[in-house]
Formats: sequence, C-alpha cells, structure tokens
Amino acid sequence: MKTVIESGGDTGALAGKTISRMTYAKLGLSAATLIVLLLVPLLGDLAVISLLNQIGIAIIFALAYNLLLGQSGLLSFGHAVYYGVGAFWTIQLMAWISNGAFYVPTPLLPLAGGLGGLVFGFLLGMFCVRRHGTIFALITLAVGELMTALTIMLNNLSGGEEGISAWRQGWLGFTFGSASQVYYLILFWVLLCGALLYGLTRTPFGRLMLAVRDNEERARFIGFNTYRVRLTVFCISGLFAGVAGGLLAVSNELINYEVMSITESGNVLFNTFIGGMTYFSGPIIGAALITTLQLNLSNYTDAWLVYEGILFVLIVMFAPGGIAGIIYVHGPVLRDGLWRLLVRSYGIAAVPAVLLVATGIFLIEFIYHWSSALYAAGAEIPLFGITWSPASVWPWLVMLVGQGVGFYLLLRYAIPSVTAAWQAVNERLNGNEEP
Amino acid sequence: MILELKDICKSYGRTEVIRNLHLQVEEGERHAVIGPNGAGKSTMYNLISGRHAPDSGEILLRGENIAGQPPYEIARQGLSRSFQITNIFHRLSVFENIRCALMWPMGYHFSLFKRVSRLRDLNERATQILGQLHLDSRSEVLAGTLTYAEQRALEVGMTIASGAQVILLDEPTAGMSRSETDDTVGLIRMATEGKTLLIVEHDMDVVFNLADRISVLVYGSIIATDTPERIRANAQVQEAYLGKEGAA
Repeated sequence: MKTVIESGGDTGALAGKTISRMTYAKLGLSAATLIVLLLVPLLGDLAVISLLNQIGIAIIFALAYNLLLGQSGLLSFGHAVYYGVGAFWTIQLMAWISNGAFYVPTPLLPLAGGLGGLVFGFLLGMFCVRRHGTIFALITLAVGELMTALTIMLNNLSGGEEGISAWRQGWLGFTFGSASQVYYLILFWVLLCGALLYGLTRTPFGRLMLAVRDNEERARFIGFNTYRVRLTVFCISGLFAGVAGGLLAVSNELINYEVMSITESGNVLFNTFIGGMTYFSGPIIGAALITTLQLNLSNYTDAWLVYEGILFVLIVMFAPGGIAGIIYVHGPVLRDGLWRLLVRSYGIAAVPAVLLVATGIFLIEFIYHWSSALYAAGAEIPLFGITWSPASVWPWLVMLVGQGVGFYLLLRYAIPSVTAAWQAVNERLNGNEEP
Repeated sequence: MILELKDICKSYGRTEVIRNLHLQVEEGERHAVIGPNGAGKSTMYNLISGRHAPDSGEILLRGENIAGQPPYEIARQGLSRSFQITNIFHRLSVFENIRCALMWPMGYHFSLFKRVSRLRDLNERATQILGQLHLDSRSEVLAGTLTYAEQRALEVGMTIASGAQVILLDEPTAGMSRSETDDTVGLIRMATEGKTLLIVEHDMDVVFNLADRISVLVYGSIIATDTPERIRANAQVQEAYLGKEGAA
C-alpha cells in the first residue's frame, strides 16, 4: 500500500505517490468551497461579508508570515511593518488617484502595497536576517517599534495619529462601492496569493527554506549562502504582507499607524501559531478562526483577549502543531476506521472539558465584571441571565468546585484514557505500515 | 597538486591547535590523516572547508587560496566535506536530504519558478544515490528517525552527492559495526573513484585498506606523509601514535 504523504504539510510530498481517490476528494472539496465563497455575497448579509473580507486579508498576511515562522524557522515580532508599509503606500496612492495625479486600476492597488512590502523587506531585511534565533526576534521587535514610532512622527507622510483616508475609485463596470464588490476583489487576491505561496513550497527554493530552517550550517556546506536564502524569504514574505496591507487600505479606506504596531505583529503570530505553523493550511485556519472569534466574541465580552491568551497558551503547551496539527493527526484515523478506538476516551474527556470551560468562563467574566469600576461599589453582576452578588459565597464556591472537580476528572480519567486510546491507535497504524 | 596547506596556524584563545601545518594532497589519491585524539584533525578540516579561518598560512585548492572563504564558496569550487557528528536535515525526508545536497551542483540555485517534483534530472540522480547508499527503502522516512548507521551513511551520501572533485570525510565509520564499516568503505571506494579523497579515520583497518598515502598529525603539525607500508615502519610514527595504540 502506498503511503499518503500528508497534504499541505512540509514533510515533502513526492509526485505520483498520492492516492488519486484522495486527490479527487480534495479537488471536489476545493471546488465546492470555491462555489460557496463565490455565492456568499448573494445572501446579502453585510456583517458576514465584511467578516470574510477581514478574514481574507488576515489569511494572506498569516500565509506570508508563515514563510518566516513555519517554513524558515524565523520568529519575527515585527512583521506588521511590511503589512503597514503596504497599507500606507496603497492608501497614499489612492489619495493621489483621487486627486487625479495619476491612475492605477483599483484591482491592481494591492500590487503597490506588495511593492512597498518588498522594498522595505529588502532594506530592513538586510539588517534583520544577519542573525537568526533570539537575536533575529529581538532585531525585528526593535525595527517594528522604530517603524511605528517613525510613522507617528512623520505626520506629512502618515497623517500622524489620525492616519490617511482615501476613496476607492471604480474600474470598468465595478464601482467598488459595496462590500460585496470589495469581497470579490479580496477573494481574487486571496486565491492568487494562496496559490503562489503554495506553489513556492513546491519549488527547489521552497525545499531549501526547510533545509535552512532545519540545519543552517549544513546548508552552507552544500553550497548555499544562507544569509541570501533568509533575505530572499524575508523579501517574499514582505511582498505578500504588503499585498495584504494594500487590500486593507482598499477595504477600509482609512489607515493609521496602528496597522504596523506590535499589536498587529502579535496578531499575525497568534493566527499563524494557533492555526498551526508546520502546515500550509495552518495559517488559513488560524486567521479564519481568530478573526471570526475576535469580531464576534468582542460583542459579548470585553475579556476576549484573556480567552485568546488562554487559547494560545494551551496550543503552545499541548498542541504545538496547532489546530491544523490536531486535524491532520486525525486524518489517518478516520481513513482507516480507527476512530472507534477514540470515541469512548473523547467522550470521557468531554465531561471535564465542558466543566472546565463553563466554570472557567464564569470565573473570568465574574472577575472581569467585579474588577471593573461599575461594580466596584459591590453592585450585582448579571451573567448568564442570573444576577450574582460578589459578596455572596455561592458564585465563588460554584466556580472553584467546578474547576477543582474538572481538573481532578481531567487528570485522573480523561488524560490517561485519551493517552491509552492513542497508543492503541498508533500501534494499529504502525502495524499496518510494516507488512 | 589539487590541495595544499602551507604553514597553517590556528589558535583558539591561548591554545595553539594547529602549528605550522604543511600538507600536500595529490590529484586522484586517497589520502588518510591519522593522529591521536586532540591532534587537530577536525580543526584542520574546519579550516580547509571554511568553517573557521586560519590565523595564518595558505590553503590552495588547485593553486587558488581559499583560506578564510565561507563554506558555500569552497563547496562551489568542488570541495565537499562530511562531519564527525552527524549533520543532516533531521526534519526532512531522506530523499530530500540528498536532493538538497544536489541542488546547487546541478544548477538549481534560487529556483523560485520551477516545480521540484518535475525536475527529472534532480530526482533521478537523488534516487540513484539513495540506491548506492542502500537507503532506497527508507527514502520517505524523516532523516532524524534513521538508525545511527543509516544516518552516518546519509552523512557520507550528502557529501559525495555533490559530485565534488575533492572529498573530505571525517571519521565516516565511527561507531559502526564491522559489517557496516565494510559497507561504508565499499561505498567510499566506489564514490571516490577518479576523485581526490582526504579521510580522517581512527579505524586502522580502514586507513590501511583505503589509503594510497597517509599523513600523521601530532600536536597540530604533520610529522610524516608516506605510503602505508613506510608509515607502518616509521619509528617516529610508531612512537607518536601507533605505539600508543598498540599499548592500548
């Protein structure tokens, strides 16, 4: 039996080794996804469309970022610089176009952003990529702070703290006046950038990036100037981050310094890592999920950042492959019908999971409400349709007992059960591989 | 003379590791370097291959001074080395390890617009080399999960894959069993046919079996270079090196 080399990953798929049934399934799935994506605007739900627009931009940015993080092993804390430069170049260009200074068709504007990202990627990359590891991370952090500070200072170019606003112009039959026309523009660029970046992983250079990530020294001894490899990666990543920034400018029509701040740099790192940096699809999953949660949960809770932080910590500690990793690990299990071995243990694990999540949310919300100024006087806290008094012992007792029991069940039953089930699955999987 | 070291010195801090080292390697010969532990064999390799720069002296590759050049420049001039401590791409497949080692020599430098799976010459050559290494059945396995002996074979394979004319091997059979050693020696013999080999090795059977000439490195300088028979008979060498080995 031929082994299926996992899709979209970077362990190196060889041509002609993938089972064709899987290929057809994937093609079918991709086609279906595309059709759904093309039809979404017909629903006419503005909130959904604008959410998808933001997701699309976040996906391009995260994919660009993962060239550094996942594929080259370079942890950058300042990649929003190239995103921001792309956004500023584009918004400036849009302002000039509005003044009639010159003309670029609106659908091509993200290219201007990409050019900005590329130029700055090259100029700043020359310093950043001299070193890798911790030093690289620190330099990117410093460069990021420097560029943010410069952006605020250079009032004439960046519009200071207010930023710059400009209107999109129509092109051919499109006015780009509605969110759905912008949606198609963004969708086009997401598909194009996604295809190009995926293609890059399949080129000799794409494989070389992985080699340099794995063992830079050996790469130098087989003929490669690894500084140039890193610089090239940095430039390409800057280019695509710039395209994402350009799309942001086209979509928002307003850009200020925050676009290149450490918050944005952190965001793209979160998206990429939570999604799964060792898989091509990881950043896509992460960008889609986190952007959706960010926009929706912030309607319900002000403590959203706490949840994001907890999610990040859990992924770092227990699932370094991210959400994509969790999904792909289950791929062979589903295919070989071994999921029966897991169902029971997952059922057991669900009990403490639900308990911990429910009382955890309760705890966070309660403390958050309690500590905010409004409730300082000891007013009642409305949560889950009930009014709770922080002075009473009951809510605290419920939360602490819930957490305690949850952790006990988790450690005593859930973890051993899941571990044993996975051992059984792995034995079966390995048994199948060797005849 | 394809490779010549002239009056090389190298110190790390106050420790002089290489002192006025002279070495001449003829084109097409298999040249072994032996010497007690700490004699400076690995340091000498690091200087030749560009990992470190010598403090003084010249390293001539086909008459051109390569001392202090970065490793990739030296590799591109046709000098390839292996490492005593296995130095492979652990998270890439065995096949990809070899393919990466082939990319620069086969002209795929910064290829951003070609599909690697369609590069027939590259993939066929990699498959062929894996066959020579007897690693063809392990081709899709991650290199980090290979057994020790397999990793050593891959290490040697990556070094010879480039088709370099000058090959430096650093203890290629270290830690191998007798039969694994024999396999590796056979591989080295075949892969270095018509090329120049410089080999550092502790296994005297391998050295006397493989080498056309032997140089003896003691305290950072070469004390003798000669044919295996005469090295065996050399009193100075026996005292400095083989004697110790015999006593142990």
